Amino acid sequence: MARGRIMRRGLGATIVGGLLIALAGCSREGQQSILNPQGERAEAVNGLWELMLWIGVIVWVIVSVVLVVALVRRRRAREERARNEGADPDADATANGRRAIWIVGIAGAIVPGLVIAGVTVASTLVTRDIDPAQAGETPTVEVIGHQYWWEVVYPEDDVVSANEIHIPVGERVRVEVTSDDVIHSFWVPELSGKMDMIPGRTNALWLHADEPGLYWGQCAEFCGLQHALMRIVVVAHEAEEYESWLEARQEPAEWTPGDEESEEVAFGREVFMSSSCVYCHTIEGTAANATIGPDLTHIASRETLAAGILPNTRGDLAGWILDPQSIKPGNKMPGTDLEGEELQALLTYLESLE
Amino acid sequence: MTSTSHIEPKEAHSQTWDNAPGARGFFSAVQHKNVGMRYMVTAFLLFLVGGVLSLLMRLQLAQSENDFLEPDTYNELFTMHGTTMMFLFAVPFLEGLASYLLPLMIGSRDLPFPRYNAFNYWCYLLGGIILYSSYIFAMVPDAGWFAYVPLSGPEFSDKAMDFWLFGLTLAEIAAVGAAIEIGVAVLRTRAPGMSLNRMPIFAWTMLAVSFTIIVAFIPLIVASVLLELDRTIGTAFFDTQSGGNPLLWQHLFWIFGHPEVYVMFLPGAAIISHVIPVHARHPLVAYPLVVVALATTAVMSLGLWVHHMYSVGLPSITLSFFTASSMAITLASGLQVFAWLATLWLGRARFTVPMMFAIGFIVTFVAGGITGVMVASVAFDQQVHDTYFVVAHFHYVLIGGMLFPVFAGLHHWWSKFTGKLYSTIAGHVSFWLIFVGFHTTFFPMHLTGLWGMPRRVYTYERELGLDFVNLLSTIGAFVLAAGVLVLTLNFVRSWFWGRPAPQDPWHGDSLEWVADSPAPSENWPAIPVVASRTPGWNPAPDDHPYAEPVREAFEHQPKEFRASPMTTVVSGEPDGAVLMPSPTLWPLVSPVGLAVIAVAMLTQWYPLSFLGILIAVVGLAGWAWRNESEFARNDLSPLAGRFPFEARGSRSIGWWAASSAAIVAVIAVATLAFSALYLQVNAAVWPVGGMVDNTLAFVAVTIALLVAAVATGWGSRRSGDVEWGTVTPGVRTAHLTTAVIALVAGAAALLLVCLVWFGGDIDPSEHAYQSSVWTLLATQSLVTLAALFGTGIAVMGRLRHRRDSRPGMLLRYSSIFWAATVATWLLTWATIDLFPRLVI
Repeated sequence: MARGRIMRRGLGATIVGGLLIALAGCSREGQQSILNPQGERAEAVNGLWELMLWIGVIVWVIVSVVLVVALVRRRRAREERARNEGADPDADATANGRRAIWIVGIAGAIVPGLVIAGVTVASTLVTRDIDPAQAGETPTVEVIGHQYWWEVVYPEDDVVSANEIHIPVGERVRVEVTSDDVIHSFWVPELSGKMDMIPGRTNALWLHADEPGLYWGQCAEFCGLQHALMRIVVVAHEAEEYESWLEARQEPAEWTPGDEESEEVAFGREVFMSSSCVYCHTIEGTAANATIGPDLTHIASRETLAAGILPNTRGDLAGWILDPQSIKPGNKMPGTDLEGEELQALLTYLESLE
Repeated sequence: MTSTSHIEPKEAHSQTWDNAPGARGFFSAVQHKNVGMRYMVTAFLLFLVGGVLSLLMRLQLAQSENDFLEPDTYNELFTMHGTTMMFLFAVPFLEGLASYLLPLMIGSRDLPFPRYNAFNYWCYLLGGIILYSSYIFAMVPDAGWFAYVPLSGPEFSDKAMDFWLFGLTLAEIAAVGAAIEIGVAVLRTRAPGMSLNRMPIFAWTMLAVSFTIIVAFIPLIVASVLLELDRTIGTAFFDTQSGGNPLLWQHLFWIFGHPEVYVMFLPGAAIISHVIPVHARHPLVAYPLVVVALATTAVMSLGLWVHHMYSVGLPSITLSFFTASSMAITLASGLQVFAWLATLWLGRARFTVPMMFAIGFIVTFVAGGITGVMVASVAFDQQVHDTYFVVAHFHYVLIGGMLFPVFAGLHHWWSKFTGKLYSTIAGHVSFWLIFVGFHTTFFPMHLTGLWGMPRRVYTYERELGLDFVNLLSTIGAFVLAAGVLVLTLNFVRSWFWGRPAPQDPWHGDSLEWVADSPAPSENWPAIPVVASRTPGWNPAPDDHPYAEPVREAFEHQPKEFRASPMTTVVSGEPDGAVLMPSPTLWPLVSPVGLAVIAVAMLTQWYPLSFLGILIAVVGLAGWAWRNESEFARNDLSPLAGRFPFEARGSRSIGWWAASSAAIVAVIAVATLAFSALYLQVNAAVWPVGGMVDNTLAFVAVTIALLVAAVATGWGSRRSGDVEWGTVTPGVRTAHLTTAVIALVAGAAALLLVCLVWFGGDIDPSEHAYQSSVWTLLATQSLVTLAALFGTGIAVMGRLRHRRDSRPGMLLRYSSIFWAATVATWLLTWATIDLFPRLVI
């Protein structure tokens, strides 16, 4: 068996070693890793994954070891004794044949059956723990998929936003998802598995974050040309911070009579209202109330532009307004030919919408 | 006919099996080796094309935010890659392999319906051409190989999806046809003495797989038709505004799609069950368990489809059920793995090229099976579903579980196919390149997925930290491609310039190794008799009870036409003979007609579709005429006086064809009925726009169809078990009378159905209920037309044949199909009238 052991170390260890080294590289992971769970839902699943990973590695190593030994063993045996070639036509009926059937049945079905049953139970328990019904009496957020952005609604608080979900930490926030056009899928790996957003149907999940922070996600069901660039970010706040964020969202950021505002902002609003912007966007407190594109009432307070693909800076906003089709070809926003002063005023106006 | 046991010169018999020379010979060839080879060559070329598409994708993904490809190009590439590999490579290749190998393995001279086999190949080829012609018109499908609605529907996809739907439907018609062919071949045309328990694993597997294909692929054809109707005439099957439901598509697609995985894997496993025993020089251990495992897999595979839909928001209880079944099916695969391990353990392995691929298969497939158990878990799958983890998983299962075995099988049977030897060194080089390239490509993808990369994205942002793993995959893909290139060149070189191979280079156990390499046109100048599971190692003794009669009937004969023995289903007892049709151009005509219809739909130049229908019908009619000519021309008295060509019931091969056609029709309509019921259960209101409830007409249709079925059945019984050549007074009149009664009753039923269809003010675009009614009535009309066509053939046969036996058989086939029309009609009636009353 000595040679068997060498072979074992050779083939089996190399491949499994590769697996482990690769997994050790997990520290290199980036923004949205399943292996970096940051909330109850994702943590439960991660525990299941680790269990299944180790069972899987053990099973694979056992099979590979048996395979290698089977391949090597008989060749040694051949040196010792010659065996008749040929086959017994009724091999199953012999004592050896029956024994082989038993061994194959036990190793191939009965033992794996017990393991599989265990994994099934473990999986079912986790599935129960993360069931949408486990959300409880918590704030509800509605997310509606559009090609290629996310509409975010807080129905109880009358707040509408886009591409960004704010939640309080430590709470299970119920999220109801649906779609306005094709099927999308809502997925923020560090917090939760995905849930499809299907037109004519409302699905639910819940989000829970342990710590305040930004959690990235993206559309996980192919939804057309720009499926790749449909990202979302979940912002988790401490409870009081979340409340104040919500309150701020409830009032229009838009200037109300009597407020001070710069001339440039006023001019910017004029540019907005007199250009094609109003056909698609809403800004609460103004005449702009179209719903084809994202709600811009508080755009200046968002982290990103264009569904998570641009940082929300003045330069990126300008680039997006002028030529969105080169940044994200196929999205529904047409380019504009605004120039110098008009563009600057529009940017200033939008940046004022905190 | 009495005993004529002296041996004629071989040539006279062989010549009846040769193809005509030149182009005519090429297009008219129908023998299984010709058709099987065409399937394999075509599918392999498409595999290379699909591979190139994936290399382009890998180049684009080699680094983050790459702009090598435009987004639309990338979306087209992954759509065509998946579509090509699944629909145009994997299944057709395996069916081609089965076409080629099965008759050699089970000792037959051809498949039971050679012309139908050719018909299926042409359908497949034309389907592939239609799909790829989308590149010429720059309208390449881009909604993914799974074509989820609404993205693939009328609102969000352009003409490109029509190329996909028509191309695929033609290819799937071929797949179902090939399944019927293969299933009947395994059941009825095995060598005398090859009882079920002596059947090679490959035959068992293809039998199980053909069952799965017939049950599972028809729903895809139906789904494609429904989507095409939504896209062209505006039905509402998938339109949420009018009672439709996008999840219906997913259910139908995965009822097909999951069994499809096993349709690819099971034959792969079967190849391994042949390669390992031969190259380990030991019979397969635990043969009965392997058979139980593969049969269980084939049946269970029909009950797992929802595990592709874990994130669509189904109730927990449903999900738990499908988790359990998805987990359990792995046990059947576990059994097979340990049967192979035990065979290796007890045998003495030779490290040949096929064996290397078999070993590569085991380590790879087991890994894919383990990740399969993982994704069977709802909770875990909701994380990794539609990520690269799943991409890794199914490439482990499909490349590991199907492609490695196919490569093992190609190297194993190469000398059988070509009579040539390949370079063993090049074979080993290709194996290591493919094996290392594969794992370098797909192992990192597990991590790519776990680190958050969804599938079907043309780019990813640098912040995701996925550059390294993706680059690794891209490098691996090119190593893998290099391996495939070496393999291809090795085969091409061998085929044209290789050294001749011995007849049995491996000392194989199964029957195909007893035949010459390559086998002569008729495969078996003398039909072999089988007395063990390993006829290559333990041939039947010369004094086997079947040996003498089989030799007498089939050794170098018959000489005037093609024939092969027919045996009983369970014990493989010689039972009769099958007339194997000769080469003809007719099977090429109807596929061309179907393709013309597709072109008419694609160009929206609808008058052209009438031409297509005409060509298709003329093709079928000419084909039937030609068939009867052969039955009229040849002396089909029982061979050696004891193997009849024309016998009653299931002892004639046509009975199996008619029954298969009946099953196909019933499954298709049952799928439609299921779809309507699903929509009904999930719709807020049903029906909308007035129910179609013309009870009088419905009862009348039922009675008329029953009359047709009973009349033809009764007519065929009049000629019961008559001897070949018998002419009994009065039988001819009885045949003709009952056929005419069936034609009149059937025509009346058709008329009534059409009256309800067009007279009932049914607007298919108003609501899904109306769409369902419209489609069911249209389908019932088509099925009834087909039944009328069948009775027409019986009439034609009656007028052409003097003897009573053949026309009686034709009437019997016709009666079987009329029975199917009764079943489809009852389903239709229930769906449009009864369910809406009974079910909420």
